[in-house]
Amino acid sequence: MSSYQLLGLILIPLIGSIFTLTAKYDKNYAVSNIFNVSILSLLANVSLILYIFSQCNLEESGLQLVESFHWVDYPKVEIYLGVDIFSLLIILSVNLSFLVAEICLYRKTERAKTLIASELLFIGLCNGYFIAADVLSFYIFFVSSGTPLIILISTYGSQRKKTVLIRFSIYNLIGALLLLVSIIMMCEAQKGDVLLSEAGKINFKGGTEYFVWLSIFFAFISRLPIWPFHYWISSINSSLKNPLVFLVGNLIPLIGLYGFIRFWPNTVPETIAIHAPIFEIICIITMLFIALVSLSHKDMRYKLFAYTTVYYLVYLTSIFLPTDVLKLNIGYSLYSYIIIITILSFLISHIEHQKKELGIYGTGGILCYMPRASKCLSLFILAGIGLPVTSLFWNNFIIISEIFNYNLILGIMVILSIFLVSLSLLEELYKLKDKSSAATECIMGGDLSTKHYIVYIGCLIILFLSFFKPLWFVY
Amino acid sequence: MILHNMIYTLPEVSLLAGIIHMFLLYIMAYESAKVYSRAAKFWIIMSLFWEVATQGKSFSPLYFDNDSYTLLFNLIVGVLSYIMISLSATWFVTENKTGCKYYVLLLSALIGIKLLISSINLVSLLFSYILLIYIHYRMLGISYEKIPSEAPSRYVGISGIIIIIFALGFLYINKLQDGNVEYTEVKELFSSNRKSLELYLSAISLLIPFLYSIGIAPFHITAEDKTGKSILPVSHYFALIAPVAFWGCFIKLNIELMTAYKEELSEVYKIFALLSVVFGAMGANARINLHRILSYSSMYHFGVVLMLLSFFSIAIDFSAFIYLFVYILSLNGCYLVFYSLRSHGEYLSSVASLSGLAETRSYTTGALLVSLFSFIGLPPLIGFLGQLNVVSELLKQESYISLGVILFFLLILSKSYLEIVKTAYFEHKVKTYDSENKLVILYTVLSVICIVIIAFNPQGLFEILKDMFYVISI
Amino acid sequence: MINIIACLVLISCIGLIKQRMKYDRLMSWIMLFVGVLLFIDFAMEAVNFKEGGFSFLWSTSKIGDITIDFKPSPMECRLILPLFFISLMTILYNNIYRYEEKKSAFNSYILLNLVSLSLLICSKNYVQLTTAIFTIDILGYLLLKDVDSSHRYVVYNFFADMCLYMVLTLVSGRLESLAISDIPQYLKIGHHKDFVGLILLFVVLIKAGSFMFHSYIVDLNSAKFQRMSAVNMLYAPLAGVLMALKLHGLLIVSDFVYPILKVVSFLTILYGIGNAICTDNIKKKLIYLNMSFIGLLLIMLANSDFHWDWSYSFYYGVAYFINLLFLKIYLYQNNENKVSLMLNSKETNSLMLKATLLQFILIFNIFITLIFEISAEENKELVFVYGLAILFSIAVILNHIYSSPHSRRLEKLSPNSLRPISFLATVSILLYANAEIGAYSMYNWMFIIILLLIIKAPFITSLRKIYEIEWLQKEDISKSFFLYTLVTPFMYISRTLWLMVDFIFSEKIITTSLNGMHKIGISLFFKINQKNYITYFLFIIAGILCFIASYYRRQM
Repeated sequence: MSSYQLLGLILIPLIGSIFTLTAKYDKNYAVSNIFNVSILSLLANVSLILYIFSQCNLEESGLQLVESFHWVDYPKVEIYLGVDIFSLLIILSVNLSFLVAEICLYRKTERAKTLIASELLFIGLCNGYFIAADVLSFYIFFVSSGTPLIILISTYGSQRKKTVLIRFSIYNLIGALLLLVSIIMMCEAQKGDVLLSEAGKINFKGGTEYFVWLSIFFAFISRLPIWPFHYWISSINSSLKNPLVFLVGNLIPLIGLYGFIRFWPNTVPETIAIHAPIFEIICIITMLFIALVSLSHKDMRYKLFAYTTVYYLVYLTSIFLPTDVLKLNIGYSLYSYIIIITILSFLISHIEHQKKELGIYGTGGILCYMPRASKCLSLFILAGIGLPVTSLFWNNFIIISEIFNYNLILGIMVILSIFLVSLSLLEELYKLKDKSSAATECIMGGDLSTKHYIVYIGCLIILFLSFFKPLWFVY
Repeated sequence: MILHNMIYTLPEVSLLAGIIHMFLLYIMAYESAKVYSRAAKFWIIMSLFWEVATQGKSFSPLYFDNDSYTLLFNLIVGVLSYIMISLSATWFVTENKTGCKYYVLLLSALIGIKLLISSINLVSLLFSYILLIYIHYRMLGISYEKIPSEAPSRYVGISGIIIIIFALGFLYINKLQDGNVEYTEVKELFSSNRKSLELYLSAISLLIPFLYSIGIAPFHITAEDKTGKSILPVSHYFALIAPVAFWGCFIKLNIELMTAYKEELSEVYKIFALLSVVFGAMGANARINLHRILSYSSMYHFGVVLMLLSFFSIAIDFSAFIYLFVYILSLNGCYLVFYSLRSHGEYLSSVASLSGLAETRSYTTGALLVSLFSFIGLPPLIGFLGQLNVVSELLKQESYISLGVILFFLLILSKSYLEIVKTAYFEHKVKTYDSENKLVILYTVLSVICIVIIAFNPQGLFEILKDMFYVISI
Repeated sequence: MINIIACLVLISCIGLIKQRMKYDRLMSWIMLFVGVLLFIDFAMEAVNFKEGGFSFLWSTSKIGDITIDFKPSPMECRLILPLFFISLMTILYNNIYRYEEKKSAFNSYILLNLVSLSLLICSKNYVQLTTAIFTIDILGYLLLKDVDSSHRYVVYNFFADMCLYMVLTLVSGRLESLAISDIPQYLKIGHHKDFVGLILLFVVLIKAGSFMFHSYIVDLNSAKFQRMSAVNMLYAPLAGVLMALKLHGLLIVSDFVYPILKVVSFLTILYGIGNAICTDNIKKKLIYLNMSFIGLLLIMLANSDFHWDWSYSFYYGVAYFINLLFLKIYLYQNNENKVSLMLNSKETNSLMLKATLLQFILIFNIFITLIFEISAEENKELVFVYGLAILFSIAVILNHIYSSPHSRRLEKLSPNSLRPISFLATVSILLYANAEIGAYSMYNWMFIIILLLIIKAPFITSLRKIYEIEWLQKEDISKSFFLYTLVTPFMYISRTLWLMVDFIFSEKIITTSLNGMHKIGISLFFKINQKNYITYFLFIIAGILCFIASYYRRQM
């Protein structure tokens, strides 16, 4: 058993969050202090993750470095933590993304304390979610990760979306309560806590089995923008102007997706697994729907949201396939994908910010005056839609080939959705580069700073290296 | 022997001394509320000290019994009272009142609570209940409005009926027992005459007053008024301290007296619990006054507690107690926030007055958020522990419908909490808030720290609570 | 071999660095000389069939290893050598003619494209193939730079690449292999063969810019002439043809592919020739001509079951030379886009234009000889007919330029001492090529005379009236077709879905229902929870009755 390394992944960001909250208010240095605290916390976390990677056996597929902590006796709750390569990849990409986000965020952000404290809280709880090894701690981190989201959306969301927030929160709460009931039923059946890998071995009878598993899946679906409940999530996401909060909003479906990855392959009973086609149909309908809507939607954030949704659902569809060989491919692909959407969120926010600063009404042609931003946005959109020299391309290749192996129509729909959503991003890119709609006078000073440019190019290099060797950073 | 017995009255005597001290201060024309509050706090500490020191002893073993169960509830009440007195001083100072009447009544109420919880005889029970009702009536009458409220008169009218019901039941039992109305004797009486309707009615006449005082539907008549139409310190008392006391006594009655009728009562408790859950959730959504919203919220949560008590099992009763305990802690956090909601010297109580609170008072809003999310049961806050217990026990007992209703109405109740969150975060600032009192900030921070510490390491505290609670089953 | 590729990549990367104009020019010449040396080196190795090349292991997977291979077989050398040569000619023309501002950047894109094409030709696995194709598309986009010309280029190619991606994922999943050499097995064990074959054909046609998929190619006319012709002949369309060669094993799995390919290619030739004659814009004329060249190439390949021969390499080289010659005409006409406004050079630049005409004659000679040989080998007379038709259309275009009624003075070109080098180099190469293929027979001389007559014929000149028909100049059949059959319906569906489902259903219906239920619940609550003594009594009595009811229930 390792000692507290995994717990450290949860505690470091939480401690950072407390430091942030207790930072003294000083007109000159307060904001930079807060950002420095968060960057240091995230750097420490990333270093710890790399260290944990070095401790893991890369060939082993099961959980490693398991830690357990006693919480309460009545009812008996033990917290089990454990990692495998897949969860470590996800944690690394999330932490790395937030680190990049912190470096690139404008220091003149409003209510920086609330933002950074909530964000660090979210990261800590997310880390806990990805390393939870038993059902109860899985539930605890699953639900608690929604709390900082509510704080962030409430603080930075659009005024027009306040009623949507309540509906969105209650929708998530329904999922949480159903998950709680199912998990406690599992614990009662086993007379104790249940490890995630053992969840599928519990014998329930008839209707109870359906109720338990459907409740679990509904809980995860409540985090994913599945039709027809996608509207609230999409509505909130597209109204978030702050790029960090927008990133958090785009990572919430990852939580739902991860839940499916943990519970579906090898864990779900056979009686439930045969209903996989129903889930697949729902995924396809949602993908097509959102991809089609994004074509005519004018907001770039919505297009990015549609892009992230479609990809999440592609991964989700692959999870439902009757094969368990895709987990690592999904992990490698998600690793690149999360970094890409982080950078895209920030680039879009930079453009919006410049539009506001420079007093330009439309964004058409704005990239003509921002060569660095133009280059980065083009490269990352190309990377996002499948530039071959990224691990996203290669791993998606394997995933989609398995989908085609399973069903042709499913594969065609997946490709069509990816195409539509990529096309909408490309069209938006062209609109931004179209000189005919640009402002008449040349605008100076709106481009990316050198620091941001170097960070983005660095991320591109990381993506490129990941194609050569996905775990190139493991020593 | 008499001297020993007198020592055992010191907890109550301390409070009585406090009352006398108040009178003296009033006669000496002290006008600062802080003076009265300091005095009250001193005597409460003294009372708590003697309570601990004389644990297990009683000055009148025929009528009262002080075990660790009563100590538990007395401690909770005492600590909450201490916090309440500290904060109420700031309120009275702002309103430019002495608050002497309030502190006197509070100390009197604490005496009544001690007597109520430690009663093992129906005579003392009835007496302490009547005393408390009277004190509550006087408390409700504390008002600085030009037009006095109808709440006290309504309260006394309904309470009178309830007391009559209680008295009728008591008289019947007393007649049957020839004045021997200790709990053990009465329990024997109930067990041996289960088929007697009159006896059954007498038994329920003992329960109805407590259901009424706690605010369980359909006896919730004056629950809303107690917190909604009174001044903040009084509302604080009725929201926190009074329910703890009545619950302590109610649980004791159920365990020590009513086990003979558990099958009958179980069904009724379930119905009342579900009614409370429904009324509580709908009421919270219907109101715009923060105190009223929380009173209906309490109705919901108390309904859940009653649901757990309906199984008449000591282990599940302890789960109910845990749920109650964590709820009270969270509710205390909410009320601490109310003491800082002040604009131009006026204390605010409507939801709309929270508009833009997050812009100027991010920590206060955070504390409110912690409490509200704890009510919903979001992990890792302490409310989750309570919710875990509830779901766990109901599943074990296969009460699926009850569980479904509770969870469904939790969603509806959550909507009212989220409205508060939405107003605090989304709306733009409407009022300018006065600067926060340092004492309020201190207690708020301590409350949040307490919630967080208990959330992360509840085991130690729960062990102690369990040992103290389980005494009642012996 | 690895040194050749590495040097090409290195020199290209250096060429992309921003530098001053004089260094830029120096760099562009250095790139040409290095390129020539590398070409000689490569040609020696290829001619001597030396075993060379490299293979890097990039990644491993369950379905096969991903390697970067560059081990050209003799057949592959037949593909790479002419492309190398064409790229060098492009660089030479770029260096000589002062048309590009950033010469070394242009040259870099050409060389990088050459490397990508070589990797495409030598690819042995799907990943290398798709990577090469994507890279070619991106290089084409970077070369174009202009938004108008690159917009649809990117969209169409992206769509084609997605379809290719889809086919390859399907095939690799079925075969459980990434190796292109395993493709023949798909004929035996593959499923959805028609789907695979037709989609791949679709990809080839889009990339090649065939009839109905040519809009993005026509859009290239907004770019600079040289870039336009480079992209048109060396980038996406060529990549499509090469891809068809590599993956022809998948094309033949469906019986529908060949007939459709031949029909579409024929239509492409016809459409290309027709528009080449009718369009006034010289860039568009060239684009349509290139369309017909590619259409003819596809028919020839289809006839030979996609076996590449040296004659096809020559054919493609000739087609590209025609592009270079039209560039010269464009420059000598002072960058005039409209043929109807071009001047007949009687007063200035007449020597240059005549020299260009001479080069045209030489190249026509090579072209007709090649076409004759190819059609004779394959026993396909139609190929010869198509080739003749293409030549006829070029002759008509030259007639409209050289026999232009406008004779006002052309601006004299600025002095360029390097211009004669281009003439000498081109003429030498063409003469050598003519000799090499034996294009000095009597029939060739007759053909040259007929062509000259066509170029000078007045009745052909009268066809210039076509340029005055406006709708012919603007209409693009495929653009309208796809706009009305695909784009508009999709946008309509998209807006309808957003409005009907998102807005009306999710926002209005669901939300309104929930709000309605909420209001009903609260009004019920208020009705039940009234504040009067009767209600209070009723509550108390109800409570007591509950107790009593429970008692009787238990008793029963």
